[in-house]
Amino acid sequence: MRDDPRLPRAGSRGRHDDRLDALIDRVVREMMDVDPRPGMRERVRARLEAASSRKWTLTFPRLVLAGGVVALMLVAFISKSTRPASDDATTITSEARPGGSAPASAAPPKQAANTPIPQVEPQRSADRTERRRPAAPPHKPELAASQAQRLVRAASIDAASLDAAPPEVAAAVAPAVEIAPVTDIDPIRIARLSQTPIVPSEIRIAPLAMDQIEVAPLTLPR
Amino acid sequence: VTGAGRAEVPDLDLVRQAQAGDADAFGELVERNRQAVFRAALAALGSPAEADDVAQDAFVLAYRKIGTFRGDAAFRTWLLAITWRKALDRRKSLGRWLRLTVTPVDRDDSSNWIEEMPAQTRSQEENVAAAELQQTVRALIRTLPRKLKDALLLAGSGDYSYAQISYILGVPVGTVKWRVSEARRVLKEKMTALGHTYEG
Repeated sequence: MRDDPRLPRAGSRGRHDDRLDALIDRVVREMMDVDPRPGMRERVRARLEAASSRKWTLTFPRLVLAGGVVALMLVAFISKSTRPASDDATTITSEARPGGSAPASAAPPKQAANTPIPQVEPQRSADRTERRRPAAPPHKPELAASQAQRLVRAASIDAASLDAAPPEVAAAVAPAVEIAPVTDIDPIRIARLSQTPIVPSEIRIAPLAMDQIEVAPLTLPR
Repeated sequence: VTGAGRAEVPDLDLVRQAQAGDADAFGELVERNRQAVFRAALAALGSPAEADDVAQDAFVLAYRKIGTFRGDAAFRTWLLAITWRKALDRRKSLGRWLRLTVTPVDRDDSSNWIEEMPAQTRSQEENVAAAELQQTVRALIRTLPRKLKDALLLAGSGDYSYAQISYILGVPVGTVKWRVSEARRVLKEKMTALGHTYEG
């Protein structure tokens, strides 16, 4: 070590360290001896004002948007609560009844309206289903026909009146799958459960065999 | 209290006034602490422009949070802790990393340097060598681990007590002193390895 020419000799080490320390101190002081630009107070004030105005410009559109959403929800709620509850049901019933006069906007096409439709009694579930889906005014005959089909299918079908219906209506209304009549079946019988009482004296516990226990060798964590 | 009269008001009174909404009182606090705040940010970032920006951010944040200041520590210490956190956020930011990657800091590892000499006794050549030496030491300081460098720069600036540095860095005073000492040791070791000797 002592032969290394880069290292200080023993007597001069303290002086060497002191000079290096002084050098480090001076360089650090020079690195840190920088003053902020003048006008820090004004710049901070300007930044505070800019931040507050930016906050307002960000907040205002959000408030407008939130107000608009609330207003839309309010309008939707009011319009829904003021609408007569039986509107849709009436429309459906009048469309479903044969020869019934439907409103012009919801009237099925001429062919479908004039076709005698079997007597159906719309069920409550059908009413509810259709109330959730308000009937749109049919602009095309295909749409009106499909709407009539949906309405009739939603109702319960009277088989007798279906027989009397014209073939095209019967084809539209009749179920695609024929179900065979249910024949009488023998009642299913289940055998009685036999109850076996548990006798505690008959319960035996086998002794634990120690040779079956294996212990893995312990590995020390690194 | 306005103008020159505010110069005599203690920090804590100004803080109370600022908490009550007095913007001028806060302005006086900015004036008093701007250098300490700026230099703390400079110690963390190394760039005066970034340090100025972070110092402003720190003051803005301090103004917003001044209601939470309870006086457990001195206002300056509290402010410096805010500044340090802001500076660390900046130091870790992706944008800064990209900027430094594009224009890296000069890391001159030149080994040609001479010992300190009085300027009047140096020749022109020696002055150039002394400047190069300081550049080398600066470069070596920049290569220090961050924890050592932060402690060394904060302590070496002379603006902060060890207790303040301890509060800023969130470590005990003893740890701060060890880091400063360790930073010096590492620097001296590197300088010695670069060939500097003092022949007795």
